Amino acid sequence: MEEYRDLFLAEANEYLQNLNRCLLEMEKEPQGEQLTEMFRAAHSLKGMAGTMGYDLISGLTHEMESLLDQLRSGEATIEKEFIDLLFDAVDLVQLLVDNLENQDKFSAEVKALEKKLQAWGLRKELHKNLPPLEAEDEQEAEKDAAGQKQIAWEGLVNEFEKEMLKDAVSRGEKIYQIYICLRRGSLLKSVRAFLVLKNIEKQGEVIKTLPSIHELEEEKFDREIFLLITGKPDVAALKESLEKIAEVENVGIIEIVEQGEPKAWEITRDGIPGRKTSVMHPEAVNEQTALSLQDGGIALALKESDDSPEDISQVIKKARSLSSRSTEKTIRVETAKLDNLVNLVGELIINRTRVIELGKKTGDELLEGSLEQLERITAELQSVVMALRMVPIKQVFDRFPRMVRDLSVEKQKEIELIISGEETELDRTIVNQIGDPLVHLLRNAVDHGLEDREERISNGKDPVGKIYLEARHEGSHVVVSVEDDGRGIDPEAIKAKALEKNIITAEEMDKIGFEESLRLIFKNGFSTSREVTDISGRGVGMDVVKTSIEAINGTVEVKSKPGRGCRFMLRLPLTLAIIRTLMVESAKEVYAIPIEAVRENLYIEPRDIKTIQGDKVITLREEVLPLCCLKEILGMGRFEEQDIYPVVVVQTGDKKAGFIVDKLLGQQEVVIKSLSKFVNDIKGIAGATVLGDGRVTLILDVAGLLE
Amino acid sequence: MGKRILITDDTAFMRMTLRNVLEKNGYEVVGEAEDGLQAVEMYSSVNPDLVTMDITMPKMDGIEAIKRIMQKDPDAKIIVVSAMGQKALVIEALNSGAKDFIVKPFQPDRIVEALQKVGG
Amino acid sequence: MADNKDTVFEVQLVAFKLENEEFAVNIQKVREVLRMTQVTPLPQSAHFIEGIINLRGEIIPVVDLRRRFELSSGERNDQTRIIIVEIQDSNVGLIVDSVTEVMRLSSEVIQPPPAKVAGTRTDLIKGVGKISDRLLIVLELDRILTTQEKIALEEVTLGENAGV
Repeated sequence: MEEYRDLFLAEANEYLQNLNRCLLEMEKEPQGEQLTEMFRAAHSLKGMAGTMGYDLISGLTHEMESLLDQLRSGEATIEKEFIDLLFDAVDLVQLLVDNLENQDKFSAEVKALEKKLQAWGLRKELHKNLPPLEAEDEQEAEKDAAGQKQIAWEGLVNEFEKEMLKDAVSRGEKIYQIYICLRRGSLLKSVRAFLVLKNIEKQGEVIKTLPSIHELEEEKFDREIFLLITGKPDVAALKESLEKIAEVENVGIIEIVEQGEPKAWEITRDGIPGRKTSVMHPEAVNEQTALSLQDGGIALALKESDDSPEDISQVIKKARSLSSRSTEKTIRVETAKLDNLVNLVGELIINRTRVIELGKKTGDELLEGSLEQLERITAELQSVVMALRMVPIKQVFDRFPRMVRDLSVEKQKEIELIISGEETELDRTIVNQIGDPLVHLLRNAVDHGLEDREERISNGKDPVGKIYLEARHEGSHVVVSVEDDGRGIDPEAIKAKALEKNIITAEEMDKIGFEESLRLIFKNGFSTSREVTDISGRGVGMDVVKTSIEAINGTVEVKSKPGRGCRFMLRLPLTLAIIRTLMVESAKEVYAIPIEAVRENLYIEPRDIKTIQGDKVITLREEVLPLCCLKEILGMGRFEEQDIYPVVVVQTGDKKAGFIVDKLLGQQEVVIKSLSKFVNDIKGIAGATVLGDGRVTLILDVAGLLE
Repeated sequence: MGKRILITDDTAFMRMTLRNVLEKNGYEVVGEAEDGLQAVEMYSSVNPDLVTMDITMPKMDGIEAIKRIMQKDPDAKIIVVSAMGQKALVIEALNSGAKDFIVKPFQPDRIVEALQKVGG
Repeated sequence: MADNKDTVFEVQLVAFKLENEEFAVNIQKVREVLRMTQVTPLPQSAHFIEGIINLRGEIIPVVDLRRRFELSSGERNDQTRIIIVEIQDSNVGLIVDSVTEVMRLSSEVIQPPPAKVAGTRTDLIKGVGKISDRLLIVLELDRILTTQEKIALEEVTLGENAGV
């Protein structure tokens, strides 16, 4: 189950974001599509949670789903209380998803909210004077259906497949639907599916599969496979041969009667003819969701129908547009697979470098020519693979409209959040890590930056405060800025606060300029808020924002115009996986120093080394730098007297120092690998990398070493 | 009377693990081959009911071994024991005549189930 | 099936040697056994961490079990092995003098650890198996990478909770 949990989390959060977005939209302008989309999201969540055994989530989403289903089939007006109720439900589901390990402690809340949702549903029903839907039975029916569950194929087969079916029938063959369910946790499912197909093909021809053959190959399915086949198989023997395949848990074979009996083509779950027909959708099979078409019973596609041809084409078009979504432009890939690919390409690059060096030694022109070719292709491969890791920053931005809405209600300030550049792409590890810092900056803007309505009016400003959240490319970096049109930062207040907190002295206070005073807010232990508020005062300050951004090799800047607003700019690298490093040798081991932290390399003689209060220093262009021996700070050896010392000058933030090493080995691109979780908290070590010869080398964290 | 099984794997550890699981479940391990070549030779001499076959092995790989065994005995029942990520190779093995496959690292009950299903 | 504590069941163990003692780990936790390879030292880590190795692209910490059990350091030879085990979903290497066999033991013969076994730390031991005159020390893998300070801390919190 473990391996599915991450996938569950990722998808659940996506659905929750959709729900939030729809609710926000609905609040502005209610539309039917929002209900449908929310219904689908709730249904998918229910199915996923059920599969994972998260009963509270599936129970709650079931109620949401029933209510949404009921609403979208009627013409009810959407009341504000209803939206608030759904917001509560979405929040509670989010809470459960965030606390998968101990959901049970929320069971009382879930029960209470379920009651509320049911009560609301009942009210609507009574209002509409219709009997309530038997939601429970529907769920039961779904369970019982297992092997007998039938797909409404006629909406899904294309013209070509229809021809094949017709041909088969004219040859006297029959049409069957085969249902296969694999055991949970089955490995190499794509090969398992292959084996299933191989077995079926001995007895018949596979016309169509749900999920598609392509999706089966890509393992884009859970456990269920539906196949539409033609032929004259010995059904009992075929069933037995499929059941004989390892990891196949359930097999169902149903003959599809192609004429005159519409019941064979469709399932009318609620038993009200013409009201609603549930059709399994390719995507839906994956996620165990059902999607309802509102068109009533669908005309039989195979039969030469009396219905007007337009109607049929309309229906098919609709079904096709639905099924084409399964061959959408994006596919979902486990991040672990992606990481593995990136790792492998990284290792390929390292090995390429080695092969090219060896090739040059031979002086063989032909070899060198093909090595150059290899170099170009691998470079291209690398850029393609790196692009795979990129995700739009939208993933993070999407949660902010809801957050700012809640904050504006809570703080009773009118706020407009203007987002731009959400399509800007960044490495997903970076995207994952900028969420919290941005939350903090946005909260700060609402809490401290924007004035309340009266103050804004008396200052001649628009009563609605504005926050601009923007992302854009800037060279090899992405800049994310959070800007508000509030009161700005008062440098004098900051300096006074810093003095009070003993961050600066009284003499320093007079010397500090405007820009510098703004940077004081990033100092450890600084918080401009007088009282700790629920919004931004959570015991963390801007120093945490700065540290977490620097941890991903980014920087933070602040600009302010008193009375006009302030702006925080986060400058972030595009990727983290591959970095350029300077390789050095120390105590017989090779270490990699990220090139970002390296200022220069030099060789010094013993007479260049001075001591100040027992500590070694060197003077470099009139700047005094502390000097330390790398093996000593790593605890790997003692400083040894030599005639000449290679020194790497490093810098992070405003800290600068010289590291004495044994040898400078040159620059190399390396793939960062994280250390095992058991040893990942070592100060001064950022990670490890594998060299071309298979040796493991540590990547140094200069900031950690300088502490 | 347990089914007679020939285990093929180049690592002693894996052979040991498989033997333990199989014997505990009433199978009789009639031979252990360390590579494909041995497996082909032993198949003729011990004539097992079932064969488990690793894919990547020295001397002769599992796929070649499956082809040769199937040539000798078209009714041979061979189950591929593959590592994760050997998708293409497993498919090739199945196309070469293997009846089914299991994936390492495996759970004992899944191996037994697979063997029962194939062995009947 | 092996989880049922009330009945007798069979455990499969991979046995190995450290100095003159025989140790064992549950085979379910063993991923593979490697020959000794070059280990990159890890500065500032616990004294029993030999360093890290590369296992098909994955970086894995390696524990010197002799040092872990505060035994004298032995020489590495062609019998030396690294047993890759899974601890809390992560792979970890254990350097041992040699791997001897895979065996099956009935859960009955595994007794809780006595107060002191040959000078080794008992908190790292799950139990002791007796097979005629042989003594087999079964490791508690979850504790192998926990430093003493962390154990002490855990015990304090556990104690507090128990007291409430």
